[in-house]
Parts: sequence; C-alpha cells; structure tokens
Amino acid sequence: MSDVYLQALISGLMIGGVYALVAVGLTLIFGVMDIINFAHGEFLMFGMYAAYFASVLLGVDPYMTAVLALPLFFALGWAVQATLIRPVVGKSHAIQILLTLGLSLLMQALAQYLFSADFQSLKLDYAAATMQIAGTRVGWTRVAAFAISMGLCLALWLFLQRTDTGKALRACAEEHEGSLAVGIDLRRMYKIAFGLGIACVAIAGITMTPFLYVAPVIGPKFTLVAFVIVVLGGLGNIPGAVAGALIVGVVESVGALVMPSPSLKDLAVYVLFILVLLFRPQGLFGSRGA
Amino acid sequence: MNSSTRSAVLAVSALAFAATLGQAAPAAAQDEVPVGILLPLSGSVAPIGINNRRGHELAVEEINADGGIKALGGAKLVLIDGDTQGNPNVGISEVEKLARRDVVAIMGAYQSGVTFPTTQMAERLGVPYIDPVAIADSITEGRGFKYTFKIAPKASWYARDQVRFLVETSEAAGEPAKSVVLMHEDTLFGTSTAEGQVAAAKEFGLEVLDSISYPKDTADITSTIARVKDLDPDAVLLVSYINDAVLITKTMKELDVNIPIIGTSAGHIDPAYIDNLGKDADLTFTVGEWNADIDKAGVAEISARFHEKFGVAMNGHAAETYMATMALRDALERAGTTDRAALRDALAETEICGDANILPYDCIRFDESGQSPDAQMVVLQILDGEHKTVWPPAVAATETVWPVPDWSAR
Repeated sequence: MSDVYLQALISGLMIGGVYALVAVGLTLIFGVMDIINFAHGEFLMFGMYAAYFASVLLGVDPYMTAVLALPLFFALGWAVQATLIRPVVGKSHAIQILLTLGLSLLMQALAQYLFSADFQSLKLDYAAATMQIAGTRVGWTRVAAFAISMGLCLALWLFLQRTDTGKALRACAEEHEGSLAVGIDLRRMYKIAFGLGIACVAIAGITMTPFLYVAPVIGPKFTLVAFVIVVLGGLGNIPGAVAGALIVGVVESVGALVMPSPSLKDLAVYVLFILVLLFRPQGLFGSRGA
Repeated sequence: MNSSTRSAVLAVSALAFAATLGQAAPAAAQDEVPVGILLPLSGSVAPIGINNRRGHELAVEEINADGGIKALGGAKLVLIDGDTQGNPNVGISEVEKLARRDVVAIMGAYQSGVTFPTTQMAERLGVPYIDPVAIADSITEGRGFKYTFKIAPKASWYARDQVRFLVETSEAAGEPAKSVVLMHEDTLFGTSTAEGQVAAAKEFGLEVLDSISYPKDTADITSTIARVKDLDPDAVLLVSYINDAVLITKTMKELDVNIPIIGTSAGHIDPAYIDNLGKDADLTFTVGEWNADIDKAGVAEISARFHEKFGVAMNGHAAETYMATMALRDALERAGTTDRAALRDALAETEICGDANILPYDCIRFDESGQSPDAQMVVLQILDGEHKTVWPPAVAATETVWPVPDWSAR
C-alpha cells in the first residue's frame, strides 16, 4: 500500500512541474501588467494542437515543436498584447476580465470549428517507455515534461534576475510610474511579458501532448489550477508559483487516494486554497504588500 | 402597393393555404398504411435521431419492395415523421398530431426522457407504441400499459450482461473471476450505471473491492490507477466517456496494470477509442447493443444494404429500429386490419425468432409489461483494431482472447 502513496506522490510531482510552467506564465503577466489572463488555458490548448498537428501532418516530434514554439508563441503573445490587450491595460478589472474571458470563449469556439470537438491523442513509439523507482513506475514522457518545465522556470527566473530586460520587467512589476521615470519603455515590457507568459503556457501544453489527449475544452481546467497556484504562491512571485504548483500537484494526486472518492480530489485543492486566502492572503511565499 | 401586386400576394397566400390543407388531409389512402416515427430530427441529438430513422426507412423499403402488407391487399407502409426536437413536451404534442393523422402505430423516441411521457400519451389515445432504442427500466416497469412494446433491453441489463460475460468467460477458461473494481465517471451516466453494476456483481457472487468515481475531465489519473493495481481485482468494469477511457488505458499501460478492461458502451465502443490508442486499444472489452459481425444469417447482407443506401455503417440503434419495423409488419400481417386495438393484440402475440431476428438473441416477444424479455447485450473485444463480437457464444463472431495477456507479452 505504501507503494501506492509513493506512486501518487511521484506522479503528483511530475504533473505539478507542468502546472508550474503554466502558473509562472500567468503570474508573470499578472505581475507586470496587472491583468488576469482568463484565456491562459486556451493558449495551452493551442500549444497542444500545434504539437499534435506538427506530429500528425508533418512528422515533427513534439519535443522539436517545443523548441520552435518558444519564438512562435512569443510572437503570438506579443501580437495579442499589441492588438487586444493593450487597450485595456490600466482599465478596470471588470473590463479586463470580460476581454480575456471573451478571448477564451473565442479561442475555444475557433478550435472546435477548425479542429473539431473530438478528443485526439498522439501515438508515439516512445510514449510507453517507463522508468521504475522503488516499486513505482513513471512514464519517461512525464519525466521529460517535468524536466523541461522546471528547466524553463529556472531559465525564466535567471532571465529576470540577471538580464537588463529582466530587471526592467521586474521594475515594471514593482512600480509603473517609477519605471517610466527612469526611461523604461512600458509598452514594450508589456509585450515581452505577455509573449513570455504565452510561450511558457504553450510549451507546458506541448510537453503534455505525448501522454494527454487534446481537445478544445481542455483549457479552463488548467486556467483554474493556475489561479489557485498563483494565489498559493503569492501573486507575481515566480519561485512561489513553482512551489505552489508542486504542492497542488501532490495534493491532487494523493488527495485522489485519501479522499473518499477521486471526484473529491479537487476539493482538497480548494480547501487548501481557501485556508491560504483566510490565513495568508499574500500567499504561502508572498511578502505582505507584494 | 398597386392592385396587381396585391392580387399576386393574394394568389400566393391562397396557394400556401391550399398546400397546408393538402398536408393536413389524412394520408391514409386505402393502399397505404401510415406509420408514425417519433424521433429528434432537429436539435442537438438530431444526428442520432436521423440515424435511428434510417433503420425504419431501410425496413420499409424492403417491405414495400416485397409487395407491402399482403394481409391488407399489398398496402404500402408510409413513414410519417413527428419531430420531438429532443423535447418531451414537443414529443407529447407530436404523438397527438400523429394519432390524428391516422397512423396505425408509433415507433420511437430514442431518448428515454421523451419515450417515458410520450408512451403515456399513446396509451391514453390507444395507439400502439414500439420503443426500439430507449432503455430506461421505468418505461415498462410498474405502469401496466397495454400499448407500449419495448424491444430495447432494460438499462440495468447492461451491467447484468457485463458481469455475466465476465463470470462465464473466466469459468470457461478454468479460473473463475472472484473480484472486480468499478470505475465510473462522476455524472449521472456513470453513477447510475455503477449502481446497477454493484447489484449485478452481488447477484453473480463477485466481490466489489471498490467502486471509484472520478471526474471525467481529469488531466492525470495515475494515483487512482495505482490504487486499482494495488487492489488487484480479476477485472475492472468501467463507465467512461471517450477521453477518460483513453487516458485510463494509457495510464494502465504506463503503470503495467495487467487487469482486463470491460467498458460500458459509450467511450469504449466509440471508434475514436481505437483511433486514439492504436494497438493499445486491442483486447479491451465493451458491452454493446449489436455489432454488424454477429453470427446470424442475413445480418451481413442487411448491414451491407444499409451501408450502400446511406453511406454509413449500420449500428445497434439502426438494427433495433429495423427490427421494430419488421415486428410491426409481422403484427399487421397477423391482424389483417389497421384497427389499432386489433393491432395491439397482434403485437402482444409477437414471436420473431432465429434468423428473422437480427438482434443478438433468439426471439423478440413481449411480456405482460410490454418488455422484450429475452433482449440482451453483446460483448465486443477489440482485436486488430476492430470491435469483434465475442459473447454470447450463440452469436459470437470469433473466439474471446482470455485470459488477456500482460502488456509486456503483447
């Protein structure tokens, strides 16, 4: 029986790693622009379809697509920010929510129209390969998704810490007017932040295509999980989002065993969420006022 | 508006009015027998309703080509459509309309939620009502209706036949199954079916180690599958939609869980299950209503004609609606009249057996409640990427692969 819990723990960590990359994108966009992107999961869905069709139609391996997706989805995010999001930056949250929620519905409908409502999944030769650790089994594709996601989170964090652009992004997140005063091009920073956020979530989706199905309706679940994680980790806090994601992954996975029914696994996550909101509204890892 | 346009408008209105009059006039010329078809032909379930109608259409075409109803001087069957739009209230008023158009009987209505109230209206109006597809137990249970005839098996028989298959097949292989784990998606479809499975397992002496409900849009089901592996039952009975069915099979392979999968139609009978899993779909079992490969004379020919006429494969619904029409023909021949009460009495005496019945059991009959008591499901196994009938033995197309080999041995 202990094997079962170890298995749940490990698979929870693996999926939690992917959640981290999804949440990091969301928290970056929120931190810099103060906008909640309700269409976040739909960009994940588009990433998954990109990997699916690249593999089925062109024979491109999903991991290759993940590399190509970085510039492509960065550009997509940049374009979406420049056209749709820019007019609502700094406006009331209600307007921003209506816009991103509308975008989410539009993207779902578009996917359904273009790709059909059918569930589809990739059949890859290597998808069945598993590694065994202490009586548990983990698919290599899940390990790869975890490793790529964690690597990208680290890379993003280093980028924000070490480079001038990264520091400028952090400055925007801290203080809009102050960064304007020292000559930072805010509009450009917004586009970069949105582009990076979208690239992150799209790659998270792509790393999951070898083991998960693709469907137009897959996005909202991930958007919701990412919200919970971002709140857990502290809004705009990247290391916090990573830690929050791993916690949520494990709580979901082990929760499915501990709760009377796996249907209640989400309950465990939301109970944690509410507890954090009540007792540590700044998030588990956020500092007050972040 | 000048006078010439005005008179043109008047003329058009008069024509339109005349056309409606023509439509409303009883279609029952002496050489035609109107038959009411009550199905959702528009709305969200229309594709299924339209497919159900094809079975009726093919049967009517064959009957008329064969000289119509001989006891009525070769009268031809004519289908009169009543569109329920998938809505019970619309269905009830359509029954009244069909009754006024002198249909001898009504066949429908695919959805149990529509069939239940519309059979009530038909009972009140004294119109024989044949239910080929709608499965809810409540349609024939405890109502004492005289005019309802249900060819469709009861919903609870899905679970019964799933469990019977497991017990019989494992006994035949010399290692009787003792325990099962149930997994079902957590909406009404899953939970209500699982209740039936628990009852059926108890009836056939199988121990239910656990009954697990899961959310069907889950992204990761590993820990639940790890639990199933730990419980190590002789089979896992699933009630799944397509995406979760695929995810569960994938995860079982990943965790090297070597337990036979027995699905409950829905996701596991969907061709997309095979498309998504490729060769990993092989050896999965599922119960179903019917399959075109069942071992009965005439089935292959009828399904080929169906495919030729409509361009799609014949499925269980179409086979059931086809047989409903054949049962009506049989009753009309014996009644020798279009009188509804006489036709009802003839239907109650129905006995269509052997190769005349393309459904996977011997005889279509109706008991006191109007239920076809011998109705049963088939069990299909996916072999080389195709659903093949493996149970019951009387109609099986091929041998069951049991015990199911381990993933590593495939």
